[in-house]
Amino acid sequence: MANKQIKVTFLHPRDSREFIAEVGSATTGAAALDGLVKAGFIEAANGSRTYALQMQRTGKSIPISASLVGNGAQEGEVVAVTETSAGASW
Amino acid sequence: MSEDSLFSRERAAGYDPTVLENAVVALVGCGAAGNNIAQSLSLLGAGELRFIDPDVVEKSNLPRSPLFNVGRAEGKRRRHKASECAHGALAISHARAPVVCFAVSRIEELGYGAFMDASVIVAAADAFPVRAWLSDAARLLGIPLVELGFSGHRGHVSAWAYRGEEAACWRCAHPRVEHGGVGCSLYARGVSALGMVPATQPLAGVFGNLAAAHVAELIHGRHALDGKIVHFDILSGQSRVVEVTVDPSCPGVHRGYGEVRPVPVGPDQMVSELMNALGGFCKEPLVHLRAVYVKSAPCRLCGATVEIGRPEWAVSSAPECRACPEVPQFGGAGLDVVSTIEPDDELSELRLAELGVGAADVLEVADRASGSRFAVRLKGSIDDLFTTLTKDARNGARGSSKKPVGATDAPTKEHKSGE
Repeated sequence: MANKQIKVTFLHPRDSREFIAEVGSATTGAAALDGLVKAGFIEAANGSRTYALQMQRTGKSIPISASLVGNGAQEGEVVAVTETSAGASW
Repeated sequence: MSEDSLFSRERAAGYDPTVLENAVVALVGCGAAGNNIAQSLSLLGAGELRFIDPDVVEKSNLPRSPLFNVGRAEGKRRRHKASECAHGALAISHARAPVVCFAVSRIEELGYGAFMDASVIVAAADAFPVRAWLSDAARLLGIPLVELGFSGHRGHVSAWAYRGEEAACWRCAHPRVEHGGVGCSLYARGVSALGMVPATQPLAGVFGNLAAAHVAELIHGRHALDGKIVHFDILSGQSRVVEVTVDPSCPGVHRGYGEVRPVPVGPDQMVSELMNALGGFCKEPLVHLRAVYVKSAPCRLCGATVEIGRPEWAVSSAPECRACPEVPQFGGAGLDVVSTIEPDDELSELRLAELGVGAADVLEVADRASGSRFAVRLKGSIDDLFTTLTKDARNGARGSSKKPVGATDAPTKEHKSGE
């Protein structure tokens, strides 16, 4: 399969910022998250926060081990980054 | 006051006091989240609450912990979160005959016996690895799980009924989180270093009560949030509900034990006695330990072999050999761990407790002859694991307690605050 590129808009987990990126057909959710960290769009995951991805159109999560395109992402897709906190006491 | 009038509003809202009275909720983590959840469940009349947390109360916990008694917490004696939650919950419980249990322990130490007959497990601990552990435990045991977390002015709650092997699990949404316990105090220092914003009572109250609502739903067999995570910002009001899909590479467990067979062997008995008992079920048992048993590990300084002899959750740091640093002994055998035991295993003469197996714990057994798998529950009861507080419904007396054999309110060496 040719490495087709699609344009995806990522939504920030805490504010209204957006990040538009070209995503290859083999790009996994994990790779996309790593790219968003490298680009400074989100902070690195650590012992107190972790991230997941949600397809805005369907409301369903995107398993980060699989490719975005393989999970149905299309040109112009909007993907929300969600942040999960481990805080429950501190 | 009759029960009908006491719970008239709750009945109108769809809650059945009898169903709640018969419910057993195991809360892992007794900080701000655990406090607020337990407060709601106690007022709703949940029959039995089990509190599990190894940490002690600190003064800074009080403004977001409604069940902690300020007078007791500010005294000279160290108070444990689990016992303080238990006393606070018992004091406000509207259950007819409330049973409140607590264990000043890590959940890995108690084992699956802590969830015996539980209706719902609540993951309210301050660490992702504990949530991963609880997700797997809930799935294997077939018990619904409610999980929550918060920071600053945002948080989330998720609910998992774990109906069927095809359903997504908490770990499908968090596949990068691995097992391994982390104490709350350690976590607190870590998040301080990261500059995270701590929780306040309004935040803990919102998410604790949201979690309690879904605990109550699951107790009633309703699954409004099953397989979903709701994220909410309490200041902006923005929310997002994520329906979690199965991750084909999920590191979590996607099956249940099914029927769990009792065996007349307790944790203080030898592995060989368990093997004899298993002979009634299969020809060639292979027992899978819940936690890896570390026989030895390399010295962190010189690499020489250091005898450990403890389950992995009881090993908090890489060991140092006795000779270090004066006499380096390079060339040790590396990490030597055991995850399964056979009948003629060299560990057969160890007590099961030494392998990290607790009272009423559940172990998975493979029959190598037939290839089948099954689970067994060891001898034991909740009273072996928890200190129980009860309130006599007839005279209102409070605080009668029953402690497990050998239990103390003080944490063990492995669980001291600040670990």
